[in-house]
Amino acid sequence: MGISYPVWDSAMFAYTISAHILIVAITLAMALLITIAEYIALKNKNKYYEALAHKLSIALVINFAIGTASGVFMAVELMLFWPVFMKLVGAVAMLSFYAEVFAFLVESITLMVYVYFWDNFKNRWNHWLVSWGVLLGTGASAWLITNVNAWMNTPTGSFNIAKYVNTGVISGVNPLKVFDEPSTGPQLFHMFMAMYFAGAMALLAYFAYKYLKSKNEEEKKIDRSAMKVLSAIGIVDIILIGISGSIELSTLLVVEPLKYAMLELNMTPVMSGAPEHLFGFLSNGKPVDFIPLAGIQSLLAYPFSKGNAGYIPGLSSYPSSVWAPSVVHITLDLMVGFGVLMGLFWFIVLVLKIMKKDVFNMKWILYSFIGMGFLGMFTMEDGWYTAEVGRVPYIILMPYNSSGQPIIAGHYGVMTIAQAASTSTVVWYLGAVIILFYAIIIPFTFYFNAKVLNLSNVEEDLRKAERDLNINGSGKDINSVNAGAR
Amino acid sequence: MAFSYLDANGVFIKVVIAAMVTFLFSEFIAVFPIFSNYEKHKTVVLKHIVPIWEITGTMIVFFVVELELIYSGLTPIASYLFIPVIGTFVALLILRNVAIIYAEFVWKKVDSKPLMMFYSGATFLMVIGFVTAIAALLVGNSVSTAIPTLPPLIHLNLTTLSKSYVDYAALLTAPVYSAVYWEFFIGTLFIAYGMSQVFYRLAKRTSWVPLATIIFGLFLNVNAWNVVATLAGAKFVGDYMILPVIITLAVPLLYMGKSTTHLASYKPFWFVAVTIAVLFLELPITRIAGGAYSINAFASTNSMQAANFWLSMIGGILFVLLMIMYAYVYNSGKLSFNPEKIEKGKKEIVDKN
Repeated sequence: MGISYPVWDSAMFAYTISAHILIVAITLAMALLITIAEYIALKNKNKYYEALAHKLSIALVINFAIGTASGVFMAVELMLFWPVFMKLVGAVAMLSFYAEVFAFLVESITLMVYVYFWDNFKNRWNHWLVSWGVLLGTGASAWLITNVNAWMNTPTGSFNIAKYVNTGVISGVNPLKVFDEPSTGPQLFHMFMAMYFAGAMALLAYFAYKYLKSKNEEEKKIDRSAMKVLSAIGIVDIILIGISGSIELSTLLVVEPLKYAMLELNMTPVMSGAPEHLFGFLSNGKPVDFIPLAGIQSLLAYPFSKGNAGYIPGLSSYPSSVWAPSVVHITLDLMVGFGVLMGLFWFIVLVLKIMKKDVFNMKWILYSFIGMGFLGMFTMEDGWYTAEVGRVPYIILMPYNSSGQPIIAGHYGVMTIAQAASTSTVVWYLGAVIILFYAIIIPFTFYFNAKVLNLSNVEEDLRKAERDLNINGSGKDINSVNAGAR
Repeated sequence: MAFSYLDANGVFIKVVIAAMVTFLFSEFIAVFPIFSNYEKHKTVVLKHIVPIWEITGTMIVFFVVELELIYSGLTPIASYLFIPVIGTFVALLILRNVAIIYAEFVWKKVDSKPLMMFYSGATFLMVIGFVTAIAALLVGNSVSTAIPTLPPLIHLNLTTLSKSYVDYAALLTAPVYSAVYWEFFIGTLFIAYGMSQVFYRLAKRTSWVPLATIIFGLFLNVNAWNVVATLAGAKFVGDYMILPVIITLAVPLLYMGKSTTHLASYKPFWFVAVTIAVLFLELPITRIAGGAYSINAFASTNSMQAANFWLSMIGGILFVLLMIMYAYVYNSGKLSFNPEKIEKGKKEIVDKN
């Protein structure tokens, strides 16, 4: 049996996004780290943070350039692989994508000013303010893209769904609704926390590795500065990930009961005492190979009633033809499990810090930082996979009412993946190009980043940082366009 | 005439296309200095390209999203018709980005010339591909309204879109199509050469080369565009051509004037002027596929058009403010439209330090 168009299109797009978000996560974290590092540099006249901000800003340009290319690729891919879907998005939810373009413009123009005209600012605090443009631009871009994903999960009130499902005619469009769907807030909150965390952990891994390898004391101080900020981000963020994850699941329970039922491997709906299923999957329509934890799911979902009064959806309320693959239950458990593991690690680091231990001199901590880089990224990808595959076989879900049933009886989604996919033969060749492209571009991006961060002469960097901060009364560099790039 | 959000958005997307084309064109014309004598022109070319190449990428995204938003019905058609061209365009965009990154940041000790030549070549091909696709979309027809005897260029099957395709061979070889295509192509090359002399200040002020090449290019292009627009079912093409012709001639003429040389190659001036010129070329185009379909037949709903209009206004203001900031910082803190004043200001800062 050959691969069908919908499967091929889905696989290619999943591959694209999973590669693209690696760059996005690192870009988000870099923008945050730069703003914090430059603030500390200016506030404390600290040349190490200044050099760090400067080096990172160049790496950010690389990420941005490749991210832009990848973004264009994705925008085009959406059009080529999902023409019917994009026709609906264009008519109903495109405003968020459009607003994202302006966020993107803010990001690109401020980044160019920040990097290439570093030395043109007489007042360096103004330069620091420009970094906020980059930070807000990158953040807003991620927010506005995720908005559309939230709309795909709960497209309430953005157009006349009943008419569309029955006749294919798009009418009653409310273009602003895409910004405020029932799943928007919780999904954005959790996505942001997870993305910043994964990106920060990847950077932490890099600096920890460099710190372990480097023999230059001055360079080690720069790496240490980076690790300090990234550790603080890690500790705060992992707490927020826990909170946002809990809110996200509680929201799913109400607004996406079909997806929730599969994520939790619930067969029958109950009002109390639902067990938590650790791992397991569906075999012949029945859950197998799981470890039950009695009453825990209800307790976690409805803590105020001690799990005794609250609706927990079950798969038996929906036809099996609309169930997502049960592997999403395992990926959810992996995500939560790794999240807890990382939370425990950061708790230990926090305790050690409170005990005034120098954690950056403990080799096992440094090696763990490297492990955190991989784990953070894997968990983010895993979470994204869970959220997206949990919507299968639909690309756009149907809104559900308070009794856990779709608002249009018998229709569990607005559009299936099969309806949305392109059936042009060219998608096979295009898919091959995509596979090749990302297989090359992702390792190269990391290589570029590492190369740029390693490339310049540390002593020279620090001398420039001293001049920029006017530490020893040295004059400021006022140079050409390329001064920032060095 | 009553105000219509759709018409206003139709003009707005043409402004976006014009700005995108101008950004791309400013990089496209760098092919001449880069390939003729890279070492000699390196400084002046990189001074422009290095901070601008990423904004060009953003403008391309801007255009794609705006197109999908205003004319959402066009998305599936464009998807099936232009897969090969779009795929190649994006691949080239990525490759050129990689090349410039290597030249700028990574291979610092290696000669950047081959990388910049690759970058420039890729940009050149991107522009050619873009222009070819647009030309095909405009003039290609299943049912020609202007010249019914012409062979179909676009094979559009609205019921089974996967059977739709563009016959590029006909575009490059069939009578009328090919003549117009090559005429436009060669004319553009001449104009590009003349503009590169002015934009990158390659020619001497007294040189007649920029003006002569631009006049020759215009001679070819005016005729070619006239045919393209007519085939696309446009009316009053000639009226809209006057301003682009005046602007295109004004740039080299200003360059030759003693007191106006700086203004002609002053980047903000050049960008605004060329954007206006391209915009006026686009304005009469309201139909596609040889005039067979009105572009408005593919438009999104009215409420989406209204929301798009207001967001465009807000975003447009934001963009202008950002560009003012960019120009301000680029000119070392001098906010002036007098390029000589800016040069003087820059010199003062350098002398002070």
